[in-house]
Amino acid sequence: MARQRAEEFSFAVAVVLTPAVMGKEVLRLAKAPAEAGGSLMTAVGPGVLGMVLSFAAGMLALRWLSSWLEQGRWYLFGGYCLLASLVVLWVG
Amino acid sequence: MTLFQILILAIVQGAAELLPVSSSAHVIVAEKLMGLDPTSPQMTLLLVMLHTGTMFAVIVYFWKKWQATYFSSMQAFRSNALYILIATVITGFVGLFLQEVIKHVVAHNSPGFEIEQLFGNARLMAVSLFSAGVLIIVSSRIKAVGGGELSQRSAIWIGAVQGLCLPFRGFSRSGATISTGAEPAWRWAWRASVPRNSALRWPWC
Repeated sequence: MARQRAEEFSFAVAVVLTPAVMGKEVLRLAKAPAEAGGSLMTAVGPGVLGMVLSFAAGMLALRWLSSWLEQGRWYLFGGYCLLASLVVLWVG
Repeated sequence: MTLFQILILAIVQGAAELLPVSSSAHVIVAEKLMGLDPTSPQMTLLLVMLHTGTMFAVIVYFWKKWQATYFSSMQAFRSNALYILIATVITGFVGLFLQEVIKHVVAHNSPGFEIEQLFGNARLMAVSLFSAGVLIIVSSRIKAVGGGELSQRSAIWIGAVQGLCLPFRGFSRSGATISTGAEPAWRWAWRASVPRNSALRWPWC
C-alpha cells in the first residue's frame, strides 16, 4: 500500500478510536473527587481555547506530514524520534 | 494553568498527535518542563479538549480525500467501513489483550495498577521513541509500490500494528502504521518474522 493511502486509513481509524479513548477519560473525570467539580468548571474556557489552538496546530501538522510523504522526506521524522528519545532520557 | 501553558500544550499536542513522533512523549515532557500535574482532573479535561481539536483537524483535512474514496459510492463506503471496523476491532482486541498480559505478568494483577504507571516511565518511553525512529528510517529505505488499494489483510495488519503500539507511550501509532502499511514493508516484516517463528514474538512494537 502507498504510504499516503496508509496515512489516510490510519487517520480514519484514529477518528473512530478517538471518541472511545476520550470517553474513557471523561469517565475517569466523572469519578474525580466532588471538590474537583468546581475547579473543573473554571477549566472549561481554557479547554475550549486549547481545542481551537490544537485544531490549528493539527491542520499545519497534517500539511507538513503529507508534503514530506510526497517528497520522500519521511525518514527525517525517524531522525527526529531518535533525537527526541535522548531528550526524554535527559528530562526523565 | 496560564494561557501560555495552554498555548504550548495545544501546539505540542496538536502537532505531535498527527506527526509520527508520539504525542504522549512530547506532552509528558512539556508537562514536566512546565511543572504541571498530568494526573489532575483539570489537566485530563484539557487533554480531552485538545484531542477533540486534533480529531476535528483530521476530519476537516481528509474530508475531500475521504469523499473521493470512502464516500465515492455506496459500495466503496461499505467496503471501507468494513475495513475500518476490522482494523478498529483488531486494534481494541490486541491493545486490551496486551494490557491484560502486561498487568498479569508485570503487576501480578495488582488491583490499583494502571498501565500508565508503567509506560509513563521515561526510559521505556525513550526506548519506544528510539524504536519508532529506527522503524521509520528502515521503512523509508524500502520503496513503496502498489496502487494503494486496501484489503482485509492490510486492515487486519494495520489494526494489529496499532493495537501493539497502544499501551506503549512514545511509540507513534501513525508512524508505525504508515511505516508498516506500505506493502513492501509489510512483506518484509512478514518475511522477517516467519523464519524465526518458533516462539511468540512481537515483530515491530
